[in-house]
Amino acid sequence: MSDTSSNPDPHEFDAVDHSHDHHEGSYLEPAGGVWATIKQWALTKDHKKLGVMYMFAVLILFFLGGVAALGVRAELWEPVRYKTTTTVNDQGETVTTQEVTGQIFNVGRPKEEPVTDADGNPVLDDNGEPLTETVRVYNLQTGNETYNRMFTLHGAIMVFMVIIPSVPAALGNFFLPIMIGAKDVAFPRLNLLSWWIYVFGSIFAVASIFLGGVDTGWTFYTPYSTTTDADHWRVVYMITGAFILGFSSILTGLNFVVTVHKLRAPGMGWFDMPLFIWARYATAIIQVLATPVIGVTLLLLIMERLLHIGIFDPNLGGDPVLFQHFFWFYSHPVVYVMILPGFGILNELLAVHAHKRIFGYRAVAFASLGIAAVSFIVWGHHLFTSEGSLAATVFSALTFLVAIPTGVKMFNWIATLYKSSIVLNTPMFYALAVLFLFAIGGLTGLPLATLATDMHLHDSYFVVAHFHYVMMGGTIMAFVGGLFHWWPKMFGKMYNDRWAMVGAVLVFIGFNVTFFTQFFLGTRGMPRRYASYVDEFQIWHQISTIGSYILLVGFLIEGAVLLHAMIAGKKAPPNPWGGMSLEWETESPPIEHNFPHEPIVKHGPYDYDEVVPPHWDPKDYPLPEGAPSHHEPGHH
Amino acid sequence: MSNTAEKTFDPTDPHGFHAKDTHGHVILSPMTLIGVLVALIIFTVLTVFASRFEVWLSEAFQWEIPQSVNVAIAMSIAVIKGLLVLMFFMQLRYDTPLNSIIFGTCLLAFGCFIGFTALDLFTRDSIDRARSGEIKAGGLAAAHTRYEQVFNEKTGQWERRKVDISVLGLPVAERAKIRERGPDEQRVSAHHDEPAPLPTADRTVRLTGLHLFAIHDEHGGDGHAEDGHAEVQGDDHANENQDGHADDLAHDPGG
Amino acid sequence: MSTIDTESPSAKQPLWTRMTHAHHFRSHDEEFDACKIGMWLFLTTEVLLFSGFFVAYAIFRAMYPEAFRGGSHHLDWRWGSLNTAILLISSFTIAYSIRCAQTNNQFWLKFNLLFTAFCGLAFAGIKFALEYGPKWAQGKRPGILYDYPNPVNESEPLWWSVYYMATGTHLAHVLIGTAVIFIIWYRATKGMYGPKHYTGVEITGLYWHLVDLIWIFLFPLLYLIH
Repeated sequence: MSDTSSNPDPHEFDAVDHSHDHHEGSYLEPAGGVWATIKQWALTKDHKKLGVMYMFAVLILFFLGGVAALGVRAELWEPVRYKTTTTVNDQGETVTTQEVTGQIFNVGRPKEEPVTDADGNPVLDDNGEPLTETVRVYNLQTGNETYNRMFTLHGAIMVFMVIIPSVPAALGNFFLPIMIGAKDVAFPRLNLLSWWIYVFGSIFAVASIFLGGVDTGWTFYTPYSTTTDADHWRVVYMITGAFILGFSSILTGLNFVVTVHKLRAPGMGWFDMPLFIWARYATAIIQVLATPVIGVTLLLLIMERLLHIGIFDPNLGGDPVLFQHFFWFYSHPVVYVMILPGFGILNELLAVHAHKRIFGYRAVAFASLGIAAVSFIVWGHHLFTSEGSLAATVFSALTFLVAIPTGVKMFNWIATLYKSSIVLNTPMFYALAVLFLFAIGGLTGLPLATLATDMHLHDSYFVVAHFHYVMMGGTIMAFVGGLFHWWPKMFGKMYNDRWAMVGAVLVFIGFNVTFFTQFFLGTRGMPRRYASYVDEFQIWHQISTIGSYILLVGFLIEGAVLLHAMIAGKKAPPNPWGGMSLEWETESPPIEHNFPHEPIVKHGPYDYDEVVPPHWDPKDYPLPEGAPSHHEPGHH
Repeated sequence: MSNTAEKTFDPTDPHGFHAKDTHGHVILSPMTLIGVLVALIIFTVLTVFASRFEVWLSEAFQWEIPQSVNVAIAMSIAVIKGLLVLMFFMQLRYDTPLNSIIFGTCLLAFGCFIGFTALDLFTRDSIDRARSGEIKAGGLAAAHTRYEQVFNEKTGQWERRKVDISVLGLPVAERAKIRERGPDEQRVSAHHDEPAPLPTADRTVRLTGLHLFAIHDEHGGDGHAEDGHAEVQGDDHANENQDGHADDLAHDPGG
Repeated sequence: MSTIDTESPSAKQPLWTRMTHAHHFRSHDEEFDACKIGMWLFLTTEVLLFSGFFVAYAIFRAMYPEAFRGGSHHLDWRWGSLNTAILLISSFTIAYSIRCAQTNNQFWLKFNLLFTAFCGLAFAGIKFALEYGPKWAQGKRPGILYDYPNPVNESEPLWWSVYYMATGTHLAHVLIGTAVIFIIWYRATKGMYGPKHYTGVEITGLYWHLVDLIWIFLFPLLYLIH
């Protein structure tokens, strides 16, 4: 059947010809010379180009943040120890030497020291002034400070510059308009602005790192963030960077809400949208409603730091816990900005690579909105140890509400896989990995939501493991799975599935080795954000560090596979996987305006039991033996 | 979900926007606009009058009206004015319901924000002995300083002095005492339970990049920070940093 | 967003009759609706931005009622009322300018826009010259900069922090709004707005009304409650 047909212009009074009958090239076609191409990309209003640029920026920053994490893990290979040894030298004097072991970041701090001769007298220069030299002073503190800067760098980059824009801005920008059959987002110029704001904010934040780093932790809690490094502007740069990045997030979210409301293709009702769009829509609502609060919070924090206005300063009557409320009113909902689009991708991966209708479409769609709604009333669980007992009790009770829509989604996905035609390729492997890892991440959230157990686990490695299972096992895994799923569509090239699987398996193993050990560390009392620990923990830390380097190898292989595909992959057909949603109905890579004509939607995104996927050649993507045929309508 | 598209699809109106065309291009009559403006001005006069009336009552007759009444009147009038602006000037009354829903959602989020934050911060007396008045602020407070002008009764001059911010949290009589003793003793008294204080370098307040006020300048003498001490202060500040570093190195709190 | 149709035979017609909608929208109405939804979403972000100040105000007012009462007495209700009146009138004029665009009343469209912009400047002038300036000079400053010799309450610096942050952010919005209205006025002088095309005036109007709306709440909270 014909899935796209020319749409008679319903608004003839506008007398504008919307049809693009002439042949259009791929969006990747260069504009001519090198400069023309650079200008074409830098000033593009095309959502696809912006999505690709976001994607590469995110991947580069992911590498930077990952290197910081590897540094943190390397430091934790051995506990930091201060060894005092007393020896008797040749003259019979007792000499005490102190030595720091287990510190790899001890780069020292420069200090001016007077130069002395053999007798200990100061050496004078030509003008008679005492000569000084710069020596580096190594001690316990400098190494620990570097460690603090490392984990702050890791956290701030990964949260503000990688995970938040990863799926929402990169894949969202590329696929949201295509999947609803639109030519572009509602406000393309705003989209371009949003990209440049992202670049500008990232430059601010990364600059603070190259100027020496920030040691406040990504949460910028007062009074660390208002008192540490008070003689430097680095913390202000970092906070300003996060402040600017917030605008990018708001504008993207705003743009997508309007796009979903106004630009769906004819025939696409709310319940004909792919579930990725539902998830992205719920995300956009959170972005619009929560991000302004981090704006005002960081604004107050900058003022607090520069002018000491005292809103968060107990000495002037302010309240540092108020900062925590302000911060988490944004940062808890933003946790769902990170995970919801990951869930959205998961829907697409499961439906396409298992060739089955998503079980309980409406339940999954409303669960996205439900998670978005609940996200605004549970932030207090980040403050269990600092807030009042009444509030903590209320927040604990409310936090369990999150489990309901999330559980609905998990069960529906598992039901989707039941009796489906699973093709175990790389995207499917990532989808199954997300199901497995997110189940662990989600279930370990429950003891953290329980007030009594949280008192023990708060700020321990249990929390670290929990949110890495959710953020990395959920979002990053789904993001990488999405990249493998859509890479043929984005660049029109197929990748080597065998090597991609090797990388994926390594990532999966490395991830679990790295983070599952941290549950044990946490329950045994290892607090987060410390460079040192008691000797009993060393074996767990070493296993975790080994895992992190397996993870590195896995991601390097995945990166190589994707880059190789871009350069030397064989050409991808329009619909390599047999998908049903609209992005598979256009060319790979898509043409400049996405579709030759405005598509009219005549089937749902998951109607595998009723319709043969468009442009699908089963030779490209053989289904497993005995898979239900698509040619029998009504088969369930 | 697959059938819905086929049964009710109208190519001239793909989303059914025009089927329920209650919004769009409303032209407000001048009388409506002027009427709303007049109402807004009247309500402004009313709320200002209510406020002044209360002040007058309190000054002339010492009739203190409870603050809740004051807040209730002012906020109800503000809400009425806000609704007028939203409904007529911003045309929500004539607009598609979607825009009202969007605005309502944001008010809901605002309600959650203020409600839950207040729930915590207003019920803290039960665990926070400082909030319930049992103890007074200490901790880092001792390190924070600011200037205060005090009138020197002997010389009849205004004098600038460094005061300890933590002093400000105390009753006036105690503040006077502490001013005589000096901030350092206050620091000790605030920490009577605690062992040795942390290294001072960690606790010094430095104004990042903004040197309007010299924290370290014990007695400013002429009393006004604007009087051009910027350069001197900058130098002092640099010294202080070096001292701070030296302190850090000397202490090594041990991880 | 909109492009100008220069090839039409009616090129001598006013500019607004030649404005077409962006190519990815199906009609002018759809673009108008989209812009309005987008602006309303943006307004929600503005409200939530200010919600931080309102929350800080509520919390600290409850914690230090004396300091806030004392601080409120330092503000002159007359300047506050004048500024309220200025903003309300400017809100009226920009609402009227939308009507003028809809009825193709070009002179009053431009007049009302210009009047609104000057109201914004007047508001900022009063704020700077008659409120911030003298208060800052007297030492009524936020936080650690506070230097007023006889405070009523120890926590008064906090009141000034809330006051300066809330009104300062509001003032920044007034100034941005004024700049945008000047741009819209300039476009109106080119004949860009008329019955078929007035999206710019409409959404700028929405923004300006929100600035007014926030002041409607800030004014009693800061000046009138004592």
